[in-house]
Amino acid sequence: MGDPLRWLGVVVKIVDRDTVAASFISALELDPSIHAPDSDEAIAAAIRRVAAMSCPCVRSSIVRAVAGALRPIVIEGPELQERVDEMIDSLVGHGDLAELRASENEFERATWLLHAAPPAFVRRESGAVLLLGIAPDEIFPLPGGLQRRIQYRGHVRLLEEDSSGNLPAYLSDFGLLELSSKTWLSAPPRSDAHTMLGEANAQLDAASRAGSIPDLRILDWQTPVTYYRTRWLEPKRQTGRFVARRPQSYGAPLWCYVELEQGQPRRLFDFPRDEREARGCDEAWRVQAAIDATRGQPQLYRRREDSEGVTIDFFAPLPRWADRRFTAFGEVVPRRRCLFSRRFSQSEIAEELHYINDELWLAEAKES
Amino acid sequence: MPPYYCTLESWATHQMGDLAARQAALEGHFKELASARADRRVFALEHGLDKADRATLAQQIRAHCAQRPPSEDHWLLWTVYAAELGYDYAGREYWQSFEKVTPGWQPRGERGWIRECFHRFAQTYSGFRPEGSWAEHFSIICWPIVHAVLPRDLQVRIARILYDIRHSFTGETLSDPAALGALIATRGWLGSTRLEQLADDAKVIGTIALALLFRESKQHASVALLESTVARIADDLDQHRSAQAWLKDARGAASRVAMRGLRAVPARVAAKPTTPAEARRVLDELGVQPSVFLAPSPDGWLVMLRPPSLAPLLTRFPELREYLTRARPTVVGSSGELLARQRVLQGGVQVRLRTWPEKREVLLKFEDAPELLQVLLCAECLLRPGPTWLFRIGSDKVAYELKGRMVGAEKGYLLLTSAPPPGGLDLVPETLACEGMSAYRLRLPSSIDDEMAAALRALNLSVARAIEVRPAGLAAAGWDGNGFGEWLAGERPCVVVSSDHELESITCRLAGAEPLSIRGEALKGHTVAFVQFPQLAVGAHIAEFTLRTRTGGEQRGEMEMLVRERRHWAPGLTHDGALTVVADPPSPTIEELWSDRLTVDIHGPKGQSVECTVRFWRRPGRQALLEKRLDALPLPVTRHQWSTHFRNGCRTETESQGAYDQADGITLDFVSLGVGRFTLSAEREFVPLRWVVRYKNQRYHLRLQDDRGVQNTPRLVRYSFEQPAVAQTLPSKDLAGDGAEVDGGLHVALADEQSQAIIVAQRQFGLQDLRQHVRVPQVDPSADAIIPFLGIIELWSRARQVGSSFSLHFAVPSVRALMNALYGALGGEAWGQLETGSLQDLRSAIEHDGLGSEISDYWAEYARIPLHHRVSRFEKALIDEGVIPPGRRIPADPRERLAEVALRFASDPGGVRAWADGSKRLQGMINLLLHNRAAARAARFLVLCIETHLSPAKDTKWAIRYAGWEWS
Repeated sequence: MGDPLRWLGVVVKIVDRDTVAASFISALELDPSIHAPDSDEAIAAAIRRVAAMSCPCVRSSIVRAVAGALRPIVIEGPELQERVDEMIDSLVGHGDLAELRASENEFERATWLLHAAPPAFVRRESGAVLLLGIAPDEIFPLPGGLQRRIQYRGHVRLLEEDSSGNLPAYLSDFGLLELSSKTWLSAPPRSDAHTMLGEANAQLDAASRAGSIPDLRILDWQTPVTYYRTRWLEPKRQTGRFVARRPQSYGAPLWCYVELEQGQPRRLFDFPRDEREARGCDEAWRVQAAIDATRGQPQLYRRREDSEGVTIDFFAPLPRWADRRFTAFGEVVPRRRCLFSRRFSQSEIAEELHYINDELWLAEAKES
Repeated sequence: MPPYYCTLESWATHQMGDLAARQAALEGHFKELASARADRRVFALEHGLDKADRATLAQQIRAHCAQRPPSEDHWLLWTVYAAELGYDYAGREYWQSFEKVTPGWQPRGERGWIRECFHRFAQTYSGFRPEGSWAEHFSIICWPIVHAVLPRDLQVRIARILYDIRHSFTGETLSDPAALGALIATRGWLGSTRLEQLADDAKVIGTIALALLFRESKQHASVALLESTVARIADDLDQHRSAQAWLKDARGAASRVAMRGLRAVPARVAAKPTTPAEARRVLDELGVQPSVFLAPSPDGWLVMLRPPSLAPLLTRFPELREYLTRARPTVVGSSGELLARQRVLQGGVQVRLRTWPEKREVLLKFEDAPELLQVLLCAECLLRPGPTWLFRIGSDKVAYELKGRMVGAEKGYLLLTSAPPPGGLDLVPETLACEGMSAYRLRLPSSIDDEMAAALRALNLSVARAIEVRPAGLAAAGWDGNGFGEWLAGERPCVVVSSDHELESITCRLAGAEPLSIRGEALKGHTVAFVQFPQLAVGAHIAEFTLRTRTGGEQRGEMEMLVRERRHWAPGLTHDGALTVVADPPSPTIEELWSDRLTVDIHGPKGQSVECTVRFWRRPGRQALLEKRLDALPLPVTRHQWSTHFRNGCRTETESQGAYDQADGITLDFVSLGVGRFTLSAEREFVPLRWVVRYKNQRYHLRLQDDRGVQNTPRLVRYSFEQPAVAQTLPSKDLAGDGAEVDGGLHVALADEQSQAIIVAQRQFGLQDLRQHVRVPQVDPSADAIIPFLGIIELWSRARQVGSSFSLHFAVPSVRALMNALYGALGGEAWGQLETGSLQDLRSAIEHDGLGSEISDYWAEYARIPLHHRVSRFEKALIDEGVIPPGRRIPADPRERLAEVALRFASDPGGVRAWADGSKRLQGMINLLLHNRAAARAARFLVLCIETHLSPAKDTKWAIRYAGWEWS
């Protein structure tokens, strides 16, 4: 065994919870005076760090590692694991991680694996850049001076242009790939809710009959649209068509669209229908938004204004392309009694509201 | 060492004076420097002159040389002048630039005299003497380049490498230039063969690196470089914004280590292990361990092996670098596919085991491995001793090996055993897709009774008690949930220790450290405690915990912490994204890229695509000549698909061909958006004798660049496409100097081991079948006649080509005609004639019908299997058909095995001379084939069948080498 004292003047010591938390935040290169260990920024950074060391790997191993190590130092209930899982979705959607299957390797072929996306950046109109991707063991391959200038907002990392200028060329010197914002923001063709749902229903009509599915969970459209987590239920006696998740032999549960009769599956197909275009969850959330909109119970957003701009609170997750758009044109801000929030400048808000209403089929919540 | 300045006071006085005074001033300076330096070497760049002084010196030398020959009286000035030009040398041409900026040198100066000046410098002032193979090849210019300390164009790369390895700095590596040089050498050279050659001497590169790292703090005793010289290099580096940032971070990391103290490498570390126990200790310290996991699949549990990265070995044993960068091992128990070169150094390899390795069987199988590597691998590149292995099924349904062999109640375990299932346990058979091993699901009740505990103990398993240790805060990578985790060098692992009971005390023992014991009040009756470890050295560490409860009970548990080096990230070296590009060779030259001698396999998720951008660049500063974006390809991409894609999208394009002829390097940037990125850099071959090509007015001009530093000029010959076996001597002077326009054909500069050949496209040509016009004389079926003929094939098949793809268009029929002639000798005259016909004709000429059927029926299968399996299968067919008499001993040396000799001759006759490694052995091989012509013919038939299978007819005209035969 190695001699642990080869480097040291210090030895093993007992520490308290706060010391562990502070050293955790510092190790992630975050600011202990701003970020708590259970903040979105810390969870995202912890995921990126584990991914940098372990990818490619299955999602649950990252959830287990991050939530397992955080649990002793944060005061939070069982939802910690859920938050880590949701943050992985955000990081995949944003472009820090890639969740892919169909590798040539026979073990990997059967499942979905998380991969670290290559370090890259996207320019925003302001001149700042969004940083994407993860390098092995490094989290992000920038020297300390630049690293310290990174602003962490939720799962998003931003770097502002400095006085010396030409930040993109500088980042390229470090091997970062520049993605055009057009490529990064690419979205599927426009569609209205009825057409989208009609296509999904037609495909379900043609799907083969399904038998019983143990541990199936459905997104029940009869539940209130403002509490995303509580919309997920085990089917009882529901009849109708639902977005659902079904377990697979290993790996994360698959997203699917299922027809139930008295709680029993009759037909289903899995999302995504085209892996090159979308993730399973992106399509599923899109179909759910169409279901809610066509039922006259559209998913809601809340609008708040202050001196810094207009904040929109969302109550349901958005497909990747929509969230990327809001990240590019808006700002990630701490959420308040919602799933997540984004802030827009006064000059941007009209166009973004138009997009939210017409393209995402959301409606503004009436203040209670 | 205190900073040493020499201001050369007399220099200013004589600034406008004569060269003799300057010579005297420099002599005084170097004399003083040499005596202060004691046993350390001096570089000519350590002249202490500032920018203005250097300019004046250059001006005066040039003015003098314009009038009269260089004088012995000024030898030191010329030494410094030559080193200064070496500082600006960017790898293209030294002498041409030298002559250009030094009017009068060409008629009056002699290159050999410059070498004599440096010899004198080395002798008089303990000057540095370049050594190694590159110094032998570049026997003159190696001196000014080495004495330039760190030429300008390599500086940015050094800064980048130091940044990359900053997490690996230790008190030991930073205390000794040779140790730091060895560490730098482990990280590759970012594709620069020049840097690799410069760093042949680890101590030199280590000294330069230490000087740059500790320049500001001036705290390093081992830096033997004049401070003003270091300052100059650092100032030049500061001109580059990125390099400045890299160096700043590297310096920060170095000073943090220095604060903890630098210490010399203990003698024991440098010692080579000779016993397995010593080797195991070394490997534990380096953290080199394989790991196994079981993955569920429709066929049952798959056994997946992650072989260890062997890169850490290079820090301790740099002598293994040359072997490990070139070797292609196989994984024992796998499909037998050879791993690509350097994959064992990059890590992240995951291989399915189809057969469970034998006890003590080394997992990585290398050919002709050095003894040191064999000793090391025998110690730890093994599965953990059996006959049982314990795995826990994680929430991701994958089963991970539990190295601690500890089980708890009601958890999902898999037990692998080669022995009959033991009694006394609830074991349910599971399907394991691996021969030689059985798997059982081990079910444990909520309460484990004594009888069951005894049955577990019989399997060397123990029962976990109510103590739990797991990471807190910073997660461990690869935490197996049962006491084994992995952290990165530089991190401080922190764990939470918990128990079901209130604690009286906790004791933690870490090998080599005082035990930590916390008692009574400090614990305040808690059931959990956080234990923070210091930054641990790279390697494996065991922490033992003893918890004493208030009720007097004692519980023990242990945790294994594997601390490993951080992998550095650089596009091109990273293999952990979903995009994996395996290039062989991993650091190709642009000649290899252009002549299709580089294989590229691109792995990635199906449904995604990859785009490649090809950048042609020129020194200095990698100025872009041309950027070409190839069409996207769907993943995965085979080497044959890539070869065709690159040829059609780039090599056959006129503008690319022009750029290739001018380029010093080509960069291939593979991007799969959101999935992965890989950059592969290829540089112009850096050899002392090389052809420089210019394409002007639709004519090719060739010039021979000779940096060997020898008096004799190489003999120049040309082989035409029409008569590829007939050499025509060319006047040497024609292609020296500025060079001359040349005709098409193979041009060769013959100079012992350094011969260089280039194929130049024909200037004018028709579209007729070129094969009809090629004339190759018959070859006698004797070793004496075949050996020189093989030499000609080698020249053609190993030659580089000019950019125009028409060079291949003409060369392929010529080379194929040469090979047909060779097989007229080896396979018989009739066979040689049949080769120009159909495969069916060839099939009918194989007299062993079973052998003919085996090949004609199964060549597609042969094509699919790895090369060494192909050899074994062919050998078996030869035995089955009696070509090799049954019972005859098969020699161990592959160079004496009929099957492999026959296949190598048939597929790559240009490579057999090097493989034989000696004329006597080559003669033996030829005689072996002449006595076994049936085998020679069958092998040839197989090669031609596989080529037909792998390459569409339209592709074969572009390839000199036969597809599917990439011999290592």
